[in-house]
Amino acid sequence: MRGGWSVLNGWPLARADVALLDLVLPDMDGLQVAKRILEMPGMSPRILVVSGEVTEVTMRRAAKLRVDGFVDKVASSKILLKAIEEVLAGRRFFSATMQLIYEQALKSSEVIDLLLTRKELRLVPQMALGLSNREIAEAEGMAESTVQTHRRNAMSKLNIRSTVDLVRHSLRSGVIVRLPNGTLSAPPGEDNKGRVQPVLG
Amino acid sequence: MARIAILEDQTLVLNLYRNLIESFTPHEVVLSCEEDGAF
Repeated sequence: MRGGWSVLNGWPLARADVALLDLVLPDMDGLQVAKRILEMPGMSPRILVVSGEVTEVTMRRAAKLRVDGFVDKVASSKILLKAIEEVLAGRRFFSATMQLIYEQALKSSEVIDLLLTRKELRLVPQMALGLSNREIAEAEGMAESTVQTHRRNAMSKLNIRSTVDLVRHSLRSGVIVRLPNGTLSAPPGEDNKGRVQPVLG
Repeated sequence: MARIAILEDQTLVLNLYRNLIESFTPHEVVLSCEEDGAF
């Protein structure tokens, strides 16, 4: 029997489009396996974690690695097959249970910092405050289409599908705050977010 | 058709995934760790 890590050097994995990965493997931490896979030159399979043991801590580590999807082992076969197709199509996928754990993990602004690029971190508070792509583009001196791309990418990474959810997540994680008078605002004293004026009641 | 690797050490679960993928999708399972002997 070969050592567990040797599987990572095999040609079948190198040509795989998706890797279904259990987090609990003999003598191996599944997320370390994912990290090794993602760091290997010439190997870029999408990672779909299928596990029965995922905690918020695990989810935070996985978010940092940009794992593409999570399905719990008790999810139906239909869900697993849907997850494979979604991940293959370049979209992130979470089964219902995993979505709840992910949302809990995302309450930490630290996780958001890990997930988003500097540019996205700068723009998300403005998006959460309700500014349109055009308004943000004008304020930042960039093309409206660029803002649209940043918005799409940020929402995808946070697994958010609407601006309402973006506001909710941003409030929970402290990206924006609710002032005593009920309006929403970027947190005071933060350079990258302070330009934005409260626009939502 | 996509190529799918399964890194799973429980034979029962592994076979379930393999059968599901091969029966209900056009995809090919190119690596399953139990069969490969990696674990």
